[in-house]
Amino acid sequence: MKLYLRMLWRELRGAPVRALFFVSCLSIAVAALVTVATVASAVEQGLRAHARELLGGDLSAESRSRPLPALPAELKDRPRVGFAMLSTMVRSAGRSRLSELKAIDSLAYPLAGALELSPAQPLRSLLNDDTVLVARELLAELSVEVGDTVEIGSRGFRIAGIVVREPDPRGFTFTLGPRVLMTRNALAQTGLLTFGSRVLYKVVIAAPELAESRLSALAKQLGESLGPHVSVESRYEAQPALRASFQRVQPYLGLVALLSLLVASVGVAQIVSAWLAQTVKDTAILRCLGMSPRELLALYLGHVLVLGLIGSSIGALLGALAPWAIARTQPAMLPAELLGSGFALLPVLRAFALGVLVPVLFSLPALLSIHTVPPGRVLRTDAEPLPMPRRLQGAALAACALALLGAAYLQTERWDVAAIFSAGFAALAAVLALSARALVRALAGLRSARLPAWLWHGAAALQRPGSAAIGSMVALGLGTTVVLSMQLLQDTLDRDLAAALPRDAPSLFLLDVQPDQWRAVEQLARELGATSADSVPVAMVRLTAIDGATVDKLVKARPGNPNTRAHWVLTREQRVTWGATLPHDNRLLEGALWSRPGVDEVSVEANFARDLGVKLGSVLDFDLQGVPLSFTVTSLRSVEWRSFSANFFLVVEPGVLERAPHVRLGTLRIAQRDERMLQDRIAGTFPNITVLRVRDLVERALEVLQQAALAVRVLGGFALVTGIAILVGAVAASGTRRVREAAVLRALGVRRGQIARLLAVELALRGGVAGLLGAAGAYGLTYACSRFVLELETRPDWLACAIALAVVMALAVVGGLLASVRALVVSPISVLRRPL
Amino acid sequence: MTANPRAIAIEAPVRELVVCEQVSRRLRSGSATLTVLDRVDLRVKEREFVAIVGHSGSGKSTLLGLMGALDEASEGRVVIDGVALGSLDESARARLRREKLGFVFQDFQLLGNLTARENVLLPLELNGVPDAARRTDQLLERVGLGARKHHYPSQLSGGEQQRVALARAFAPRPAILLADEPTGNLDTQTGSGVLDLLLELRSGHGSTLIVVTHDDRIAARADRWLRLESGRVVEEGRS
Repeated sequence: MKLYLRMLWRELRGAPVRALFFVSCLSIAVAALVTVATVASAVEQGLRAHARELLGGDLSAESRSRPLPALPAELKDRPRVGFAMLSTMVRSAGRSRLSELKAIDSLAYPLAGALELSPAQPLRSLLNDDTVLVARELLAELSVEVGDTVEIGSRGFRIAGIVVREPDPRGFTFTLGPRVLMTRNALAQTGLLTFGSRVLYKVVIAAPELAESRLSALAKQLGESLGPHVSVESRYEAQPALRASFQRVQPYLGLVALLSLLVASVGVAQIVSAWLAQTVKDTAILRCLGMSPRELLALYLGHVLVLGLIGSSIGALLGALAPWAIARTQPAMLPAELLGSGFALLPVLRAFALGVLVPVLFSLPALLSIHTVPPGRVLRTDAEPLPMPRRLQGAALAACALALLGAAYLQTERWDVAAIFSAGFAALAAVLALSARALVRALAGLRSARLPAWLWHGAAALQRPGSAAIGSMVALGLGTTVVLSMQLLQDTLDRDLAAALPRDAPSLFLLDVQPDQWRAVEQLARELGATSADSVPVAMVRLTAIDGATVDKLVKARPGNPNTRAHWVLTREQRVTWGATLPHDNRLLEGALWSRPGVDEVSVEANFARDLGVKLGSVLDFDLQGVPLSFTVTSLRSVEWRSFSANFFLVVEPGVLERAPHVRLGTLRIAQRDERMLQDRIAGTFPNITVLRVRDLVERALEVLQQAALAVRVLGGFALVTGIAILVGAVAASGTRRVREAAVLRALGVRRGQIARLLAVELALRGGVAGLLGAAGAYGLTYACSRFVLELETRPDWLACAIALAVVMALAVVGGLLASVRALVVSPISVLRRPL
Repeated sequence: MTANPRAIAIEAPVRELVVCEQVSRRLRSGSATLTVLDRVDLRVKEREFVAIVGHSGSGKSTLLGLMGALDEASEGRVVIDGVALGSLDESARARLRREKLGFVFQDFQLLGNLTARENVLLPLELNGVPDAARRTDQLLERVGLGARKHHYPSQLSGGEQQRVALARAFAPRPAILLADEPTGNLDTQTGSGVLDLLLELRSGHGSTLIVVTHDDRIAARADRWLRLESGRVVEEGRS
C-alpha cells in the first residue's frame, strides 16, 4: 500500500496540470450536486426548526370560503388567533392595488415568532378597528404614506404603520399583492364578507407544551371533528405544502446537477484515456519491471480515485456552503429564514460518494486499456497491442451503465425517472460522440481541399492519436446542450405565455361580482373602452359523495395528505358554472352535453374527472349552503387552459342552480394602455369587486418561472464550466506532445505567433464542433420537450445558438491557449535534446 | 569429515538458466505473415555471457523479448530457470520478470517522472526489498551518479541515463540480465565506459548476461556469441 501511495505521489508530482484539471472538473460537478442536496436539506431543516413561527402557533385549522365550525371544548381555552384572509382591492385617490388582507381577531398575534413593524411599536398600540398596517410596497404603488387613508371595501382606514416582516408569510414564491393587516372587526365593516367572497378562514392555537404525539393526536382529532373540508396542520408537520413543493422540485434539480457530474465523468474518462495514451511507454516499462496488469490497473485506478477524492472534497465543501451563499446573494430565490442552522452530513456524503464513484467507474473502460499495452513495447514501439479481455470490457461497460442508473436513482428515488434519464443521457452522449467523430473526419478531409495550411493543420490535429478530441468535444457539447436547452425552453415558454395574451386572453378578471352589479359593471367597462365584457355565474359547492361514497371515506382511502392533489380535488371549494353551451375553448371528449332528460347533468373536465375518479354515469353529490344536490356525469371535456378565459372543472346544465346563491365572474378586454385605468375605476366604483390584471398574473408567473429557470440554468452552467475545464484539461493532458511539436516547429523556423495561431485554430475547431453539437442537441431537446411534453410550437432561435457557439469557441480558445503557454515559451533545444 | 567444496563445484552440473527450443515468432502485417524468428535453439548457462549479434531486422531483439517474457513465441518453448513461459499467465510472467530478470535497453527506458534514485529504487520496492534505499544509494555511487541521484532523466546526459538504467537493472540482483543494444545510443567512448560498467556489475552480481548487439567489439568480450540472420541462427562461436 505504501508503495502504491509513493507511486501515486510520484505520478501526481509529474503531471500537476493534469491533476489540477481533473480535480477542477470534479470539484465543479460535485459542488453542483452537493448544492442541490444541501439546499434541500437546509430548507427541510429550516422548515422544521422554524415550524412554529411559520405556522404562527402550534396547531392550525383553515377552511376556504366558509367560516370554521366551532372548535372542540378542550381547545377553546387555549390562546388562539383567528384569521380571515382574502385578496381584494385597496384604493387611494383613484389608484388601486390588489392586496392580500389578513384580518386578525386578537392582538395577541403572533402566537409564535415576531412581527416586525415600523414604527417599532407593539401591535396593540398601532392596530385598531380604524387602522391598517401595510407592506411598504403598497405605499409606493398607491403613492401614500403612513398616516394617509386607504379605502378597503366600503370604508377608509388610516395607515398606522408598515409590516416589515411577518412570521407566518403565506407562500414564499407566489403572492397576489402586498400585505395589509387589519382587525376582524375592521374587515367586517368593509362589506367584503358577502356571499361568494373567497375568504380563507383560519385559526391558530398555541400549545407549546404539547409533545409531538399529543399534538399530532389532537390535530387528527380536530381534523376528524371539523370534517374533510377543513385542513388541519400541526407544527410537527412543518409546512407540509412547502416541503412537498421542495421535495417535488428537488429530484429534477438533482438531475440537472447530476448532468454536471456526468459531463465531468465523460471528461475525466477522456483525460484518463489521453493520459494513458501518453504513458504507454511508462506502462510498458513498469510491466517490464514486473508489474502485472492487475497491479497497474490498481495503481492507475488508485490515481483516479485519489484525484476523485480530492476533487469531490473540494466540491463538497463549496456545495455545503452554497445554501448560505445563495440566501445571501439571491434572497428572492432562497429566503434566509427558510434555512436551518445545522449541517446535514448524509446528503453531502451521498453527493460526495457519487462524485468519487461515478467518474471512477466511467474511467474503467479507459483504464482497462492497460491490458493492451505489450511489455515488448520497450523493445519495439510498433509492438502489437495485446487483446483486451472481453469479460473485463463488458464488466466495465456494465459498471458505467449501473453507475449512471444508480446515480440517477439516488437523485430522484424513482426507478422509472432514473431509467428514462439514463437512457436519454446515454443516447444524447452517443449521438454527440458519433456526430463529433463524423465532423472531425470531415474536417480532416479538408487536407485535400485548397485551404490555407494553418486551417488544415488545425483540422488534422483533431484526429491525432491521444488528442482526446472526441471525448472533450462530447463533454463540452453536453454542457452546452444543458445550458442552451434551458435557455431555449424558457424562451419558448416566455414567448408562448406572452403571445397567448394579446390574441385570446381577457385583460381583466373581475371576481366576486354580485349578480345585480354586472349590468352596471359592463356598462362602465364599455364606456371606458372595453372591447368585450362577459360574465358567467359561479356557485360554490362542496363535494360530499361520489357514487354514494362520502368524501370523508374517499379521502381516508387515498394515500397522501391534505396537500396532495388526490385529496385536494375532493375537499376543495368547488366552483361550478352553468350554461346551455360550452365555452369555445372546451371540447367534448366523451358523452353528450345535456342529453339525459330527467337527470341533473354535469360535464367534468377530463383530467379533473380522472383525479376525482369519476367517469360517465358517476353521480356527484354536492352541498350548496346546506342544500344537497346530485348531478350525473354525462360528458367529459378538455379545456384549453392557456387561453386564460374563464373556465371551470365542473359545468352543470342550465335550469338547476339559477336560483341558488351565486356570484359572477367577469372578463373584460381592453387596450393594454387602459388596463390600469379600468382597474382603478372599477375598484373605485365597486369596492367589493376584486380586479385581477391577467398581464400582471402572467408576469408574476413568469417571474416565478424565471426564478426556477435561473436555478436550473445556474446548475446547468456548472455542466458548461465542467465541459470547458475538460477541454482545457484534454489540451493540457497532451502538453508533452504539444511542447515537442512546438519545439520542432520553432526549430524549423515557425514563429511563436504562428504556432499560437495553429493552436488557436485547433482549439476553435474543437470549441466550434462542441458548440455546434451542443446547439443542435439543445435545439433537439427543446423541440422534443416543447412538442411532446408542453405541446407548444417552437422555432429555432438562431441568435441564441450563434451566441452559444461563439462563447464556447472563445472559451475553448482562451482556456486552451492558457493551458499551452509552456509549449509556446519553452526553449526548443532543451526539449529536442530529450529522448522521445 | 568435511567435504571439499572445490570438488563439489567441479562436480555439480551447471544449470541452464535460459533454454529456447525451436522457437519461432511470426507477426501479422496486414494480410501477410512475417516470420521474424525461425526455429531458434539456444541454451544459456548460469553466469554465462552470451552475445547475440546480427543486422537490424535479423530477429535478435525479438529473441531477447521472448527470453525476457515480454513477448510470446508462436512456436517452440522458452524456459527460464526451469519455468516454461508458455504455461504462465500474464501475472506469473510479470512476477518472473520482477524476480529473475533485469533489462537494459538501447534508449534507456527510464521513467521520466521519477528521479534517477527513484528509478533505481522502484524494482526494489516492487520486490519488497527491506534495505532498498541503502542498496539504491550504493548502486548509484558505484555507477558514479551519487551526486546526481535526485536529477530527473531529462536532466541527465545519455551516458548518465544508461548508467541509471544499469543500476536499475542490477538493483534487484536478477539471475539473468538482458541487454538490448546497451551502447547503441552512445558515442564510442561513452559506450565503452557503459560496457565496462555493465560487465563489472555483472561479475559483481554473478548474473547471467545476454546482450543483443550489432557491435562486434561487445561480442568479442562475451563467453559465446551467435549470429542471427533473417530469424535464423547462422553462426555460433566462442570468444
